[in-house]
Amino acid sequence: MATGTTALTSPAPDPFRDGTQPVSTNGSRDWFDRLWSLLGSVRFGITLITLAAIATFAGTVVMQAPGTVQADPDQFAAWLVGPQSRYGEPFATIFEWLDLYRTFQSTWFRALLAVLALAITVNTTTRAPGILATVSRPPVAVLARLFDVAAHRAESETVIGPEAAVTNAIDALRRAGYRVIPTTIEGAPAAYADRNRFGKFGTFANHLGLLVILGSAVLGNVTGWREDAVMVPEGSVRAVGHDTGLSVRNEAFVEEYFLNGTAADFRSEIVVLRDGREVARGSIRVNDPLVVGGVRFHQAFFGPAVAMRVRNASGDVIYDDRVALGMTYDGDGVSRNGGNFVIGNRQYAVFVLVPSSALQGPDPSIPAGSVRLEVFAPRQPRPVAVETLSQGEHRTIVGHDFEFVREVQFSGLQVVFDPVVNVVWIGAALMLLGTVAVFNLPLKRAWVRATAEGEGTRVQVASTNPRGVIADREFADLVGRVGKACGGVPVALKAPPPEAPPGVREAHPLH
Amino acid sequence: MAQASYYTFTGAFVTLGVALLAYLWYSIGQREGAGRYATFFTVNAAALLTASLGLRWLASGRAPYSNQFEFAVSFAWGTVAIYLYLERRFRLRSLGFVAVSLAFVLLGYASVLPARIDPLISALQNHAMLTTHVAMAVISYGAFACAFAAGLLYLVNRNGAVEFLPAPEVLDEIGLKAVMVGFPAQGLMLVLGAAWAHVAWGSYWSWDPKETAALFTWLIYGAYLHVRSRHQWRGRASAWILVAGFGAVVFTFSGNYFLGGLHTYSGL
Ligand code: HEM
Repeated sequence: MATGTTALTSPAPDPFRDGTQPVSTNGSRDWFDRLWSLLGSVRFGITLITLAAIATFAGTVVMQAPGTVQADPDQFAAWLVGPQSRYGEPFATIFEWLDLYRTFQSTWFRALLAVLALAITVNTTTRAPGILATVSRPPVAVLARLFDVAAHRAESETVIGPEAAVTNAIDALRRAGYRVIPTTIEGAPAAYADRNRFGKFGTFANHLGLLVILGSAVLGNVTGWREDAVMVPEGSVRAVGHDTGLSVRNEAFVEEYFLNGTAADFRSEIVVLRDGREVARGSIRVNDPLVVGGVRFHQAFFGPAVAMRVRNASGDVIYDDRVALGMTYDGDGVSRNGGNFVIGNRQYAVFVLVPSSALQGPDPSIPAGSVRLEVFAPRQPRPVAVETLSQGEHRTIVGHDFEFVREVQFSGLQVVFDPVVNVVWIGAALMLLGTVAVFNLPLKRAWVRATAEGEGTRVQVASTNPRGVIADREFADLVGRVGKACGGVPVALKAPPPEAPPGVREAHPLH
Repeated sequence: MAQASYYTFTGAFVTLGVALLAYLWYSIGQREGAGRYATFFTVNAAALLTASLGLRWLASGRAPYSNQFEFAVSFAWGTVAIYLYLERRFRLRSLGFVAVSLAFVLLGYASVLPARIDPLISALQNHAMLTTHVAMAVISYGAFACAFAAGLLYLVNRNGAVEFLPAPEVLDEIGLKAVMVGFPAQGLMLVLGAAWAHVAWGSYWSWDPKETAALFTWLIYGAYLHVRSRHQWRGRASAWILVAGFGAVVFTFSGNYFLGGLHTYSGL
């Protein structure tokens, strides 16, 4: 954080005032300058962070529409009934107007993050010259008056000569971990010392890390994709899509339970195929995905599936696969689980329904262990046939022979491709390490000067570090070391000047 | 072992209660001598809490952070640990009665929660990740509790009139120091949580309510750090943010009661 540099030390160049910026003469330049200094100001930065915090809070407490619902305007409109009854008017409408039901996907939230990123960029760019100067051009030469006004100052008297005193002081400072530059201050031997000057760079790493995280999140969204619900029944193959040529076969699904009946673990044995040829196989569980060429296959959920076989009128098998019953359908006032498939050249769509897993009692029209088939013809809102089959049963429906072969299970996979996810981790590391560096490596500066005073020598020590309980103690410790090295008698650890930054009065000592 | 863990928990609860009385006696009763006892009992309570959590770890075979009881005890542990660190660092005990009260209330809350040890569902079976992720939550929330104590006392003692409280400048500095511990720790918690989600669900960030609640908290302390860089906003404005920030911590901590989302099954 900012070090209180007194006017007596060489001031760090201020990019706004050192004359390197052209004096603006035309209006657009002026406009740009104003925008630039707005974006670079800490006050504006605080406003942005506060707005981001408020938005995040709103998005936390207001119901958020699930991603699949957001993607479909009709579903979204239907979904809005929930919040409308929950919040009532006028809140429901205000929230809708503010897009608070999809806060984090809203245009305004993204715009806010973009402006935040811009502000960080401008602010850091603006601060960079000053910080570089702090590090590369230490204020070695100061006026002697610094020793009378600095936030921290002390002096002691010794019998050894000024040169020897400063030499000893330099040794003591070096032993305390300081970098020391010998100098003279107003003709007297002196030294400048500092520690942790590179800690200042942490602020670049920290803010750059944030930019990297935001940037790679955007890039990941643009270049990557994800499928949240690829449902693959045991024994079936499903295509991944996204021009990958990949498909995934589920060889087996295994679930394990604790004795008390809660799910302990579940896993799928899967094979990944590229253009029909096996490229990888493995067992995936929730914390253990399979990665194939950057595409990650995650075990996410599971559920029931049924094996169905359909023959046409001439007895040829036209469908022989398993149907994952992973969807929820509402109808007849009951909710049911199910899935669907098509037969013929999209001649019929067949919905396979079973009692909902959430249902407490029996389903009024589907006995346990049976499936209900609803067959739809194109462009017909009502099913052309509805039949209920038990396992192993055949039924002729719309001229086809339908067979419910048996029950199996399906694995619900999340399939994800994010080529820049590792950049996110790099950004996170930069951000965290930068923050830790700034906090734990604060820049510390001290000056020592020795002057002949009557018979002896006066050794003065000063520091411009911001005051505080810990800084004061560290300074006292440093003065002790310097005093001891010079064989001096401490005369005074000076009280803070009245205009000094907030300092300490009396801390209750421990004993 | 689970029994022993519960006994040590009870022991810690009682010991911390004694420590709290000693801190009150030290500060409000203005008895210098009580201070050493206060520290002594707090150190012992911390040791008992450590033992209790450790025993529970041994009994269940996993880090003790997987239900509200364990998290409340861990949170109390974090608060006491960070408080003791600050007490040593600043050589100052007059913050103790507030910080230790917070930990004591947490233990009281834990004592009414079911303390049974449940098996973990599979999403939580990633031990190393779970352990570090939640350990960072414990440290950061403990630090924020201490920052809250400092901020609150600052607002009470803004003009330094209350003699038994630390000077306002000192409280301001302690608040900052606590945030300097809590902010990076919570940042690491968020990053580890993201890494965990990446492994478990394939996406490092899902805008899940628990995630956004934690992000909200983190942004408040981010705002605090920037507000402090403006001299005129040190002190009172900063202290208010510390109080608000802790409100956000409590909100995040108890959020599963009303937020829902991916984290609910863990009970955290
Ligand atoms: C979420 C967004 C942000 C986070 C998490 C963040 C984080 C931090 C942290 C941890 C510090 C303290 C350590 C250091 O000096 O580097 C800091 C300091 C600073 N940040 Fe940010 N920052 C954010 C946004 C911004 C923005 C938008 C601006 C300016 C427009 C900004 C300007 C500064 C400045 C000037 C400092 C130095 C303050 C001082 O001198 O004490 N930051 N930031």
